[in-house]
Amino acid sequence: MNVARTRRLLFVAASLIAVLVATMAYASIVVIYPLNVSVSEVAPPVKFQAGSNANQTGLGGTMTVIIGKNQASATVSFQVTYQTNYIHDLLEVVNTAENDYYVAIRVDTPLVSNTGVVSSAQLILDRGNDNIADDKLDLTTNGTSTEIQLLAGQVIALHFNVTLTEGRMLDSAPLTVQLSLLYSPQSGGTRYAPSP
Amino acid sequence: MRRRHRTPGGGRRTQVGVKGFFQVFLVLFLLQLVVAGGSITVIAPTSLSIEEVSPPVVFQPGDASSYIGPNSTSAYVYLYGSQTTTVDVVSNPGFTGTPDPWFYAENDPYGLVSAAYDVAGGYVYMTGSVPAYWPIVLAVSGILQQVTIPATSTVYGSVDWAYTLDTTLLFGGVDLYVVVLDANWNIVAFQQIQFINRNRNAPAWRTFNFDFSGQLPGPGSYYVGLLAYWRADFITGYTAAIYMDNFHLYVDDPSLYGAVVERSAVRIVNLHAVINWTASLRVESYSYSGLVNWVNVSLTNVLGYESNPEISFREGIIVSNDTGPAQLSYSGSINDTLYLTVEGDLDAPGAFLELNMTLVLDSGTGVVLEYPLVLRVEQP
Repeated sequence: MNVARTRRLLFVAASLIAVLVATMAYASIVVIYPLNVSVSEVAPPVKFQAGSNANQTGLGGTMTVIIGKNQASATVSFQVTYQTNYIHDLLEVVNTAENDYYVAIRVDTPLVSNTGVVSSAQLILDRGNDNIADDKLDLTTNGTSTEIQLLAGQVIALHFNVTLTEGRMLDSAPLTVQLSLLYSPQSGGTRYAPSP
Repeated sequence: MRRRHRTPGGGRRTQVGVKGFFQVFLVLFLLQLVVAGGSITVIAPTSLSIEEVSPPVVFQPGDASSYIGPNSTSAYVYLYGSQTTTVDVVSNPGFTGTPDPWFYAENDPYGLVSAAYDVAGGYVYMTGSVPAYWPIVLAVSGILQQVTIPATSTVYGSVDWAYTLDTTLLFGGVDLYVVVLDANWNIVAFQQIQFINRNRNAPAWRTFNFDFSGQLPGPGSYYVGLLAYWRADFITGYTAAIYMDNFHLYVDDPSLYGAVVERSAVRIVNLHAVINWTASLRVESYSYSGLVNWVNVSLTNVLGYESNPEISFREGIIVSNDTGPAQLSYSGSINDTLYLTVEGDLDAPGAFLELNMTLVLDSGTGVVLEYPLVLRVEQP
């Protein structure tokens, strides 16, 4: 009995010592690999540009398109009225690189009408500006368009389709939508974009 | 791994296998890094601002029955095929010169009566001065117009009339009738309006309704209007004037049954201060029942220009489902207008055609508006 008890105690003690030694040994190991990070700043290969109807006369004034200095941001404003409004080619996305890019548009902050007058609001992506929609993005909810392959030099025209319900009050203030243009040289790459 | 250690001769192979495994792992790891490197994603912000404004182009009622939407951006228009055709015998203002052939006089060898138009008043009248002690009927005069009556089952109408008479008579006066004469000036139907023998110094207009349905011998050319018998009085002479206005004659015309002609069924008005719109209509869907021979729909401007092509329906088929463009200009202080013009022919009671259309308005600056427009043409 004493022999057995002694063995158990020895076994427990040995285990504790082994774990302690192993822990100390692992904790003390430090491996260092060299890693060099090089960041090159380049002009944006995919850019915004004004569409053919930018800054033209709209329903209540000028349909304004403001492109950022480096064509990497854009601000668009226009007017709509009751029934169906098509706003054609205010803004374009152009691939100025020599390789293809994959482009998508994401709704970060959707449109909200306080009066409920907006029955639908869509952004239409029209590659080649040939009036054939490659995708339609609902502006009233968060979401991302399908990824569109944009060949070198190719353009995506952005159209808007907004419908207001007759008989409802108009919103007193302009409605705003925050969007992001996502692009990647890799097919499927836009899905890696971090959430807003 | 323990099983592989115990495989005879496997120790050596196991050593190689572990090394290969790590080599494959390393390759896959590096490959994953390369792939991850390709997933570069750039995010560019876009801000959108949408302002809601009142409609720049609106529907307004025209000559047809219509329901205009609460914001005047939709319309439901009803049109009905004709049951009768209206012949307006006397057009009011605008006639000048000699009244002939509207005026007819006979048995007036003394030239006692005459007829004239009052251009300013917009009516026609005949006057006569009749001396005393003459035969009973001195003259017969009328204000008549020749019309073609295609069917005699329904012939009715109305006339506004008035008179002046300078004295009260005992026996004489003017017997006034609405009449229908055939091409040979024979009276085929008449109704007495009044025997005028009480003085009235100022005309007081009244409306007389008449109905000659079924009384005419057959379709043909007739004279219709007022006929007056000027009778002398044994005691004294008199001067009278008979006035006529708004002569309407409604006649069934079988050849025009179901006809639809409406130039301004509904109006499309440009309220915008800058934009000159191009407007067109497009058929989205349609339904019909009964015998609808044909219906044409177009947009017309104030100058009478019609969009070409027209929307065209022929015997159950939409032959042309959109109109050509029509210009809806901005014309300064005047709101330019387009008119929905409809023509057609429906041949049976209850026949109808309903067109669900879209009015497309193109600003030419990138804005395209679409308004719904429903047109229903029906034969009651």
